[in-house]
Amino acid sequence: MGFTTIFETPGLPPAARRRARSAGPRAVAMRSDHHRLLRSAGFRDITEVDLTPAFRATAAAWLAESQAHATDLAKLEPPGAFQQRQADRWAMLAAIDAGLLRRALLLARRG
Amino acid sequence: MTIRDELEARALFEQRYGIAAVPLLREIERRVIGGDWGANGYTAMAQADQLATGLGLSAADRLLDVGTGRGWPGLYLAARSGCQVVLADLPLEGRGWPPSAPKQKALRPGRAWWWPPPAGCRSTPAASTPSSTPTCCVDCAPSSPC
Repeated sequence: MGFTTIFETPGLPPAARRRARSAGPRAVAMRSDHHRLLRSAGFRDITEVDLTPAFRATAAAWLAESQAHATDLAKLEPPGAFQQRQADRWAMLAAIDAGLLRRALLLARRG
Repeated sequence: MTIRDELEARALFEQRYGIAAVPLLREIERRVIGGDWGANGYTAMAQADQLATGLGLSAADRLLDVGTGRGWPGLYLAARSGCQVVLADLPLEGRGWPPSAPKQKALRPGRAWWWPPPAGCRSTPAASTPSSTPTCCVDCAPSSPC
């Protein structure tokens, strides 16, 4: 099994966790961690590759490339939707820069 | 999930996947992730390659892409490795963003399947369909066998 995932940086204080959850994608909050969940489901040989620098670069690129075509892109969506999406992207980028959100590739084997 | 959660998720998916596949968006996607497979998230081509390498994908494999969105990176991984791919949990709106023609050609015929089949799919699964569960091949023509 392999998947990429965005998650709160482990060990954040409560206020920072709230900000991470607010700025991150839907369902970013977890009560456990991926390693523990994978092990409890019978997976082994778990490998985690930190993708946070690439996540930051891609988030910044979505924001900048979209902003460069803001007028045209806004016409493709209901009023306000593009602006909201860009605001969400700004918030996520700020949370990454603040060390609140991370992204990783996880690989694991069953058995 | 509660009904409220479901409604919120549905609204989010409609907004996220309901945007028309105009050339400008494909161009932005190429600049951001390095390809135009329908990505709207944070997996760039280099990370899809990492995933393929980590999984050791080959033409002998069958890949299940859970929560496939518009089919990225499952379709790319199938084109790259020659593996079969089942694209699960396609949002209704995601079907409006088919792979571009060059990407379709990169896929071996009959190697990529939507599950569950999108509304309106009238293709008849062939014997090579990955399972007895109804599926719809990505490169199918309506009313013809996959």
